[in-house]
Amino acid sequence: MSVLIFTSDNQELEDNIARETAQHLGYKTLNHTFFDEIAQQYSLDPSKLREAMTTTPSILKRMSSKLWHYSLSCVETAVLDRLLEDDIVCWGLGAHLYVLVVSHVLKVRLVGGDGSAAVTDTKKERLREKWSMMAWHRKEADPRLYDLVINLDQIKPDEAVSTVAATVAYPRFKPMTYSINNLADRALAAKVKNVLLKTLTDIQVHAQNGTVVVTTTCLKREKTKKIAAIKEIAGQVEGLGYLEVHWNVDRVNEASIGNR
Amino acid sequence: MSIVTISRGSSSMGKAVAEKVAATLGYQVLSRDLLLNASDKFHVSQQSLLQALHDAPGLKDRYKNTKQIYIAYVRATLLEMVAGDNVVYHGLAGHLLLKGLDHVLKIRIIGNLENRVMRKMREDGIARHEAQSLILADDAQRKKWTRQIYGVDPADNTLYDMVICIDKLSVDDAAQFICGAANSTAFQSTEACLRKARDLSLACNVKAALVTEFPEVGITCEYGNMLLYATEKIAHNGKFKKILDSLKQDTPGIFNLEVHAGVPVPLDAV
Repeated sequence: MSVLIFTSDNQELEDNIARETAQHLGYKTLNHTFFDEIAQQYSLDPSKLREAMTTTPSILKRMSSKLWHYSLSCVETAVLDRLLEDDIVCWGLGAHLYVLVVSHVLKVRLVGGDGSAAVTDTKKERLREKWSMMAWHRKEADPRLYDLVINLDQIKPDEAVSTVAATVAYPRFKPMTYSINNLADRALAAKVKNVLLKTLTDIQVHAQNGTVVVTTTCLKREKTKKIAAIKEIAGQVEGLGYLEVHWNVDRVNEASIGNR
Repeated sequence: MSIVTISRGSSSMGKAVAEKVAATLGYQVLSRDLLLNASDKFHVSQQSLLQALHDAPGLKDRYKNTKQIYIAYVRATLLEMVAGDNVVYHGLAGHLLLKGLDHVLKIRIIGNLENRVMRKMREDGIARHEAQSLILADDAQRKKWTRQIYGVDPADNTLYDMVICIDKLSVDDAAQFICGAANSTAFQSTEACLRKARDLSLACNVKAALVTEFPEVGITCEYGNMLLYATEKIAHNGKFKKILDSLKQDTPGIFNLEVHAGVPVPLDAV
């Protein structure tokens, strides 16, 4: 009765092991095929959504920063909403980068497996690192993000499946009231951020026990207007208990206006 | 029937896990005994060997090759100690010193900084800020050492067979994983693995004998046939020839010793 998240640079390997584990445990699966459903739900172009999950915003690629952040937020919201259902094996949706500190989620990274551990594709690695840093301010290859990292150069895939299946059975990975609430708070924060990112930028959202704190940055003269807009938009989100808006002064733009 | 190396940061419960694994599998635990044996064998102080394995090379080390010499001594001793198989090593740099052996299960144990600090405070009875700075300084030193000596980052996942975060697991759970992996077919020692370990041990012993005078010589060994890669100048050096003759006579297991002069040193040479 838990959530399992797999990640690997080798997509084929990730797909095979995640599917086998789901089959072994009798869990549901959530993977890249979910992108089409997300795109339909949020009226986005599925190809643009997939592109946002692999590349950073660029004018040349006709992917603005606003659209990129909104696309990522749509994926995060939809995935977190689905993970609340429990008994799921999830992969290919970047969930390991935004589902942190939820104790009943087991995060597994798979490395090697194709004998390529010694000859790593540094360019691909660099692009992936750039993407994960820009999207969620975390390095995807950092082992501290995971509960278990398995190198498949010598360990066989079926042994990896049985190890992961045995791990998920440990009491620490069972959902508890605290960890379920933690995941629910993350899902709520993602929902609020998603509705705000439709029209606004520079938004950070945190939630705890149903209380949502939105932090934004803007000019002093826009403060009242922006706070009112945030309260109005976020207030419509279902499940919101209490909303607090924190404001930081945009010092760069404030200084440039002052010097005019 | 295999070798397990457990790499960990300070206060990451690596020692407890290693002892539990050894007890479960009936293996021998090795850690600082390595330094004791190396110190006896090569007549170097334990403190110097510990520094060579822990602290990154300073300016003086770079000119005098002291790190390289001590690491060669430690590696030669470790390979002799693990030759009997069924060993759990949880000392410094095991995964790098035993590189090239297929039946070595390389484990890294990591933990959240907050929990490590708490453990350090409990173990050493020190204040929070002191515990944190000690852990961070130790991590930085190990990172620098691995980068300078082996050119790799210790946080690189591909250096290990398994990286386990100890925060959500108990010592017993972590040990259970490791025992499961150690019992898998991939890490069972075959005749070929044991022969490779013997060859590597011979090559490391020859390296240890030569490293003080001729640190740049590369050595490979297959079925007891030793190939030494040296420059023309070294190959014709009288002292070098004399050391090789005595090694050939005194070291059991060496069938043949051949010097390749002016040939580039292969990547797998020690």
